[in-house]
Amino acid sequence: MNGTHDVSSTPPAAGDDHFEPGDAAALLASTRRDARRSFEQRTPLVSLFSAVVVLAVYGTLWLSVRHQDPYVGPSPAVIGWVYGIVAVSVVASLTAYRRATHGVRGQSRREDALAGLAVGVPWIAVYVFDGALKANGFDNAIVYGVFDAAGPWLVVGTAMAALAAGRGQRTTMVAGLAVVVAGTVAAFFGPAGCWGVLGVAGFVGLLVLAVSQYVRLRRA
Amino acid sequence: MTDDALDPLIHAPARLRIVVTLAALREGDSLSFPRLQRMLGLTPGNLITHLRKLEDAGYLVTEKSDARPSNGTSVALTRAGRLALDDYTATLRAILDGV
Repeated sequence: MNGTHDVSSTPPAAGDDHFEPGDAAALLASTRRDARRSFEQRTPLVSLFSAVVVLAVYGTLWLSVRHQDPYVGPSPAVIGWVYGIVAVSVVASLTAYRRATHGVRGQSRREDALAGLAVGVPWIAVYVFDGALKANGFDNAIVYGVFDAAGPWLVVGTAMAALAAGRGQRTTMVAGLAVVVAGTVAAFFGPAGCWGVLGVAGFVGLLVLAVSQYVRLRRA
Repeated sequence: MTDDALDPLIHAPARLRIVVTLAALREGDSLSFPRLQRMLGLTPGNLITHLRKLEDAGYLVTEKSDARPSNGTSVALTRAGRLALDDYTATLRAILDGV
């Protein structure tokens, strides 16, 4: 807009009439609340949806393997169902993110892109590493059980905590460390139990996140 | 303290909403003109008029994006703009508290 408009030619601004301080305070509060809601990338609804998705995914996997002896891992049909849920979840999350950040440019967008890489690449690496384990003759209980279930929690939690520590976001850093601890503890429950423990842990964690986001938005 | 103590550039409904909306962005971020207009529900002419006043006061900066001409102009609050809003908020609180 620099140099594109002649101030003298612009019409007088509307809304310059007398404005009561009480009205100004109310307008300031409502505008701030609306703006924060509009720019919020992770809404309580998205977190609640994610909680249900995590429970559905890990719950389905646990139900499909809990009586296996010896452990062979989830069936292709279950894996297909899981991939379907994950795909829907990713699309929903991306849609919410795009809606929140539409028209926003600058530092935070660049940081989001870097954070996406920092979390996404290790996450994919877990599954590539999984292939290497299988190729080297490791047991299904490790490849399709403990490592498959807990591995993503360890690397994603670590990346999340490291990123948050760099930004000085203490709460997110603690949440990242909690993800790492959950993944570690779950590994002690064996290849089948691991899925169930992580399903419950993820559901509860995301439910707590949804409630805290809701409370924060109500207070804003 | 009276209403006169309030910064007249911010103490107008449309400009107050502009400044508060842009302040909700992280420092260093800007917002495209179309989204700002949609969020505030102002006509383009009205919004431009208010943006010019705030820009002339150094409270915000506008920049044209050559890379994405379809999105056009984006708007960001300056450090001075954020400080002005902080002062405005403190003054408003003092007035309402009867100080």
